[in-house]
Formats: sequence, C-alpha cells, structure tokens
Amino acid sequence: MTDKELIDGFVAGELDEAGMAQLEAELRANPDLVRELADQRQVEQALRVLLGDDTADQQVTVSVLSVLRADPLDSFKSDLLDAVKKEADQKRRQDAASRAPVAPHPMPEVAEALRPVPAPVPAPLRMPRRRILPWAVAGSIAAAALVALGVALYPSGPKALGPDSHAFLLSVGPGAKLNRDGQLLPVRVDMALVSGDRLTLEEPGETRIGFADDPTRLKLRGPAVFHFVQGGASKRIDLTKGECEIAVPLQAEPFTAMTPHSELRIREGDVRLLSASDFARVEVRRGLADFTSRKDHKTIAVHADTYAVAGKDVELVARPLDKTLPSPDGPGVVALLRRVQGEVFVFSQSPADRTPAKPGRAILEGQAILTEGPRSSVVLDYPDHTRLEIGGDAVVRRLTDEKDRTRKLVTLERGGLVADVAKQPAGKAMLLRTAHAEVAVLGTRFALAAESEATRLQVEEGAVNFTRIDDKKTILVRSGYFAVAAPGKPLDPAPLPGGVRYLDIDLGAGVTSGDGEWTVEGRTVRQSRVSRLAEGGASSILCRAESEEKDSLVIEVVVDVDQATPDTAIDRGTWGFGLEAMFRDRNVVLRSAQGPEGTSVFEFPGISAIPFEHGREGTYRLKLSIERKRGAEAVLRGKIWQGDREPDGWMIENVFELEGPMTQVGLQTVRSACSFSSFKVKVLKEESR
Amino acid sequence: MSEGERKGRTMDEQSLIQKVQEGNLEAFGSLMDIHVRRLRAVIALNAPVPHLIDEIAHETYVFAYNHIQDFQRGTSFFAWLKSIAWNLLRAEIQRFSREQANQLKYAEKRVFDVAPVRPLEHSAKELDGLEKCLERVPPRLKQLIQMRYHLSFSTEEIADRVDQSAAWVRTTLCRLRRQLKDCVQDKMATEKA
Repeated sequence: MTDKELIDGFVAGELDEAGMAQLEAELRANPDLVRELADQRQVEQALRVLLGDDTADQQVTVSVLSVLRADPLDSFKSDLLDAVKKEADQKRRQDAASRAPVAPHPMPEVAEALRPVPAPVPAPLRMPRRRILPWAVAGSIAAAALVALGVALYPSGPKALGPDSHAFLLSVGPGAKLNRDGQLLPVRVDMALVSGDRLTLEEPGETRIGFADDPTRLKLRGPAVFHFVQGGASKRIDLTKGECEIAVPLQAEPFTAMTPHSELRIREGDVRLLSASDFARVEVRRGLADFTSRKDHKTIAVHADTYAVAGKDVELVARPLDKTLPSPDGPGVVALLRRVQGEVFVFSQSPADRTPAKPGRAILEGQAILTEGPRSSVVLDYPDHTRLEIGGDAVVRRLTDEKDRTRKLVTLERGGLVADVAKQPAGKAMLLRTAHAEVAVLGTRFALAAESEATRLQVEEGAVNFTRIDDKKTILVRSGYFAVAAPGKPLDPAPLPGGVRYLDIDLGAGVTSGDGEWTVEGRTVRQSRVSRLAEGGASSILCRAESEEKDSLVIEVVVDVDQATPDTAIDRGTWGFGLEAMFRDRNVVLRSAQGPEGTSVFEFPGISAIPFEHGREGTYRLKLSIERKRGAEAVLRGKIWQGDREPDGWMIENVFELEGPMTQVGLQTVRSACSFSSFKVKVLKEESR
Repeated sequence: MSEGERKGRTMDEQSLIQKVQEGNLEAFGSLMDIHVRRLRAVIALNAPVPHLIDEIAHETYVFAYNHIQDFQRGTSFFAWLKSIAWNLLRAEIQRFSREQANQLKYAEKRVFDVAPVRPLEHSAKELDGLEKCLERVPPRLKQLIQMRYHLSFSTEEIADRVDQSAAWVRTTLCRLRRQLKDCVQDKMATEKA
C-alpha cells in the first residue's frame, strides 16, 4: 500500500496487522509522515463529528442527563431490586394467566387496543438510555451483580425486564404533540415515552423513536397519530393513523403494532406499516411478519418483499411487492420511469395498493404516481419523449385520456411538475388538469403547481393555453410569463420576476460537427457513438439561439453519460461533455473532461480549471452563467453536480471579453456517448437585473 | 446563520441559562443541544485519540452543570464551555501520556507525541475554516465525504458504490483531507494577516 492508503486505513481504523506493521516501518523511515498522520487524523475526527448523524450528539446529551439525574447508588440499588421483584411477581401472574382460557382479541375500538397488555414493569419516567462510559462501569458491575442476585432469589425465567422498558424520542418532526394523561407536554429529543402516551404529528415530517433496551427503531411519518403501549421485552405500539417504518432486532417476544384494522407481529425484520381510515397495509422488507385482520381475525404470514392489506372489503393476501411490475414494452404501457429519488410509489385504485417505483418501470393506463416528502421526485418519459418531472408530495392520477388513449391527459391532484412536451399531433394537444385549471399544449416547456387554493403555471418556452375550470376563462401564457388560477381572483399572465424569459431552441435544425452521430428525439438530443479517434474525438451540435446585445444568460442541461471511451487510462486523451455558447468574436465552452487519475478537470478551456473527477456513466447537470454589463467584461460562472439538489454557489468563475449578442448555443461530447435533456437558455435583461 | 437567528438563539440561550441556574435540568438538556455538535468538533480538532472526544464533551457538560452558578450571564456560554473543555483535555492528555501512552501501538503513540494542545478558541476558528473549505469541495468528492463521514460506509462499500478501487478511495480521501487542512491553514493565515 502507498503512504496515502496506509494513512487513510489508519485514520479510518481499517488497517490490519500487516498494514499497521507497514505503516510503522514507514513512520520510522520517514519522520515527516508523523505530522501528516496527525494532521490527517485531526481532519478525519472533525469531519466525523461535523458530518456524522446526531446519534453521537444525542449519546453525549443523554449520558450527561443520565449522570445528572441519577439517584444516589443506594436508591438505584433498591429501585433495581424492586424492579426485579416486580418482574418475578409479574411473571408468576402471566404464567398463571397463560394456563387460563384465552379470550378472543378485542375488536377495533382503539381505546381497547391501547390498553397495555399485562405490564411487566412500570417504565421509569426519567430514566434515559444509559451510555456505557468508563466511570459507569463500576456501577454497572454492581448493578449486574444485583440483578444476578435478584434473578437467583426470584427465578422468573429469562425475560427479565431491566429498568429501561420505556421508549424515547430520537428526533422530533414539525407539529409534534404529546398527550400524557390528558395533558399536553412539550416535546423534545431524548424525552421518555411511557405507556399510554399519545404522540400526534400534525404536519408532514419525520419523528424517530428508539427503545431503551435494544436498537429497535421506529420512523414515524406525519401526519400521524401514534400511541406508545409498552416497551421492554413485549414491545407494543398503536398506529392509529399515518405511516411508520419499523426496524426490529431479534426479540424474545414479538414486537406488536396495532392499527384500527390490523395487528402486526414480528420477531425480527424491517417493515413499513401504513394506517389509513379504511385500511392498513404492511410491506415487509426483511424478516417475516404475522398480519391479522381485525375484521375477521384471519392471520397470514407476510414474507420479505411482499405486502398485505387489511381493511373493509379487502382480501387479506400477501402479494409480492414487485408483482405489478409490467414489462416496459408490454401492452397498455404509457410511460417509463427514468429517475426516481426518495419515496415514490405507483398505484392503481388506492394508495393502499401502492408499490415502490423504480427506474425503468413501465406505467400502465390508469396507474397513478405518488411522491412522498418534499425531496422526493420522479422523472417519466412518454414514448414520444415528452418528459414530466414530478416534484415532492405530489399525486398524479392519470397520464392518458381514458376515452382517447392516444391523447396525453395528466391529472395533477396535488404538488408540482415540470413538463417538457414534445410536439403533439394536430388536434391532440396534451392536457394537464388540476382542481382549478387546465393547460393545453402542443409542445413547450412549463412548470405547473397545484395547491389547495390555486394552480400556478410558469412557462419557460413556447406558449400555453391556460383555462380556469370555474368559469372556463382561457388565457395564453407565453415564455417568461406566469399565471395563477384561483376562484375569484383575476386570471392574467404576468411577467416572471427579474424579466426572465427562455429562448426557443430548435434542436431539430441543429448543425453537427465532428465524428459523432447526433439524433434528436422530441426534446432529447443524443450523441450515440463513442469516438475512437486517437486524438480529439470531439463532436458537437450547435443550434440557432439569438439573444440581444448585452443580454445575460443562464444555460442549463442534464447529461446522461451512456458510455465513455474505455481507454482514458492510456495517456492519449480524455472524455467529457460540455455546453457551448457562440458570440460575435469568440465562443464560451464549459466542459467536464475526465482523464487518468489526477488529470480530470472542470473547465472553461484556456481560462481556468479545477479538479473534478467522476465515474464514467451517470447523470450530471451543467450550468453556465454569462453575466454581462455595459462597459465591463462578462463574468462567466459554471457548476456541475449530480442529483436533483443544486449546490449553492459556483465552482468556477472568471471574467472574459465578449462582444455582440449570442448567436448559437450547443452541446458537445468528447469520446463519449451522451443523452442531453432539459436543455434551456434563460435570458436576463440587463436593465431588469 | 443570520444576524436575526443569532440574536434569537442568544436570547434563547440566555433564558435557558437562567432556568438552569434556577435548577431546571430539562433546560440544561436544551442548552446542551445548542452546542454539543460544535463542542465535540473543536475537541475533535485537538483530541489525539478519538475516544477522548465524547468523554471530554461529557465531562465538560457535567462540570458546567455543577458550576452553572459560576457562569456570568450575558457572556458567551460556548466560550465558557470551550475553556472548561480545554482544561479537561489538557489534564486528560497529561494523565493519558503518563499512564497509557506506553500501551499504544507505535503509530498511535507517535501521533499522540506530536498532538498539540492549543486553546480551543484557536480550534473554533479552525472549525469555521473547515466548514467554509468543505463548501468548496466539488460535488463528486463531496459524495465520497458523505459516504465516509455521514453514512459511515467502509472503504470497500464506498468503492463499490463509486465503481472505483478501494485504493482509489483511500488515496482520494487522503488527498482531500490534506487539501482541506491546507485550505484551513490558508484561511487562518489570511485572517491573521
């Protein structure tokens, strides 16, 4: 291993004996390496703390509170002995009860379901999870001895509950309220939950719950209503409403989760439980769960990668999670999912029937798409390359017209989407409907957002007919304008803030150069052949796109690298992709060029360069900003990123003399095959900035 | 953090300190939450062995709670915490070097020998610099950092996900940490100048 590998292995704690011996030899031979090792460890430790999740922070907080709250040792001992005695008594009672006839399980009355089963030990209210720290070791040994003594004196079997039979809040989402004995308590991280606590999450968000005695974890998604019934060896919760991800390590007694329609029991595994007003649904990712319908007390086994639904008029059967996956070229396919991020689902009739969405999955007629969480998103393509980018917390009910399947009709129930619409056949404009408005388009790019009170349309390219459902009033909204349809409000197009407009780019009329083979499918441009030229191998497509003198511009594109030349390791060139803008006297190219290790750059050629290394295939976004002011040089800025979250700031920046208006924009590849989509040029007027 | 947020937090902090001084332990929990991440981070920049980070943070808070009446309201609580942590860390390193350093492996011992103990005020500035330098890391490399430090993936797991060799991952991370260290030192030097 090289020095760098040894150092990284050492600071990461991954060096084996041989590696450690090699490092020691290097350190003895090269004293300067010691300073490097110390520096590296310092940065390593700081990064682990800064970027790690909040578990370690919480552990420190909990351990401090634990020490500060701790009663004197004598009282701790007596509490522990009391607990052990109570457990023994409890066990005897349970044993006696188990010999008695078993009554049928109560029916859906939630209050009944919430009643704790014979509780082993009352959970201590202010006993947080204890972290093992050196100074606690002596106490722990004493406690362990006492437990052993207690168990010997009161032989109650192996399921002795410790004092940590409660749960606690690991994180708290927005709008969380805790009701204990009819009183609303302030909710905070580290707070203990006790039997009967009712936790209400009124807003979308995530609240995590841990158990004091083992790593069982719950991830509760709001809006939700959750009851903590009991912890310890027989953990039991009630999910009246909402969704909960449950991760259960091996349990002596099954973990039980009740809903108004079901009872779930699992000894070990990961499941997602959804509780709605008229059904409950469980998806088992790992392990095996017993799922009982409270309607007829029928129980089925739900294995990994299957789901089941219990509720009114629903047959209790376990089905494979992927069973509904249709073939991409099968009958009735209307679109394909491309990029999926976060929690995205497909369903037919009801969200209860949903299955997780995956890239490449086909969407059939009548199927709907659901995204959960503000950061979730999905991109889908119709066969004609019309593309929808559906944002977070959205429901899209339909993708085609029920009566005329050749017409695209999208019903956006809630949330937002960006539509990049290929040219549609005459008389078959694509329609998008919300509760308030309808959009009719023959080919353009726009964003549509359906909110509870209004629908907002923002047009980037072309023009769109926007109709308010209430009074059928229709307006034409052009590029650089937006409009809001809401009952009783004026329906007029208004210019986008900042005087923004988008240039129309006729991709089909682009001029190509180099040895690439360019095809234009709808609004997607593809350079489909990797150049094998020993030198160069560049290829480009340039399209007419005229701005005015001194217009400032922002050019963006999404690049899918389908294949790159395989021999970049040989020192004869690089592969990459880029954006190009032509002006009167010179052109500006922003390019990511990948070479052998250490030679990759993200650059404005000839101006500046920074290292940027990435894998061969993948999806990247490029953004080039050209800011121009009278009497001053243009300021060029660029960035590249992966994923849907654009990073703040710019990665490279420089000034450049540019004369005249922009005349053409283009895309280029170097020894790679790429698909370019969402290509757009935003124009910012100098006087409006 | 905006000026408004900073003022809001300071006001919250002062009212929490008042509650703690009146004996409210829950308020101390909230007060800990405000600083725990940064306190651990500045300790991390000085602790010669990783396990000291949380121990010193723990002891700092316990000491702070037990001496909260000594804290002068209106002054910086975080600065007070840092001074407590510094004293604890210094004492711990001295104790550690007396008692345990000879039990360390050679590499650990050498790192321990060269570990500086500087006032944590200096480390707090280093931390600010590190956060700024992190913002400038290109996205692809940020992904590596996220996988190592946020998701706690092993080198092999990272290599699988980025389709590179483990050697590449180790080398790249090592280079990256060096660049971050240099960047922080540049920032400190510029500020000093």
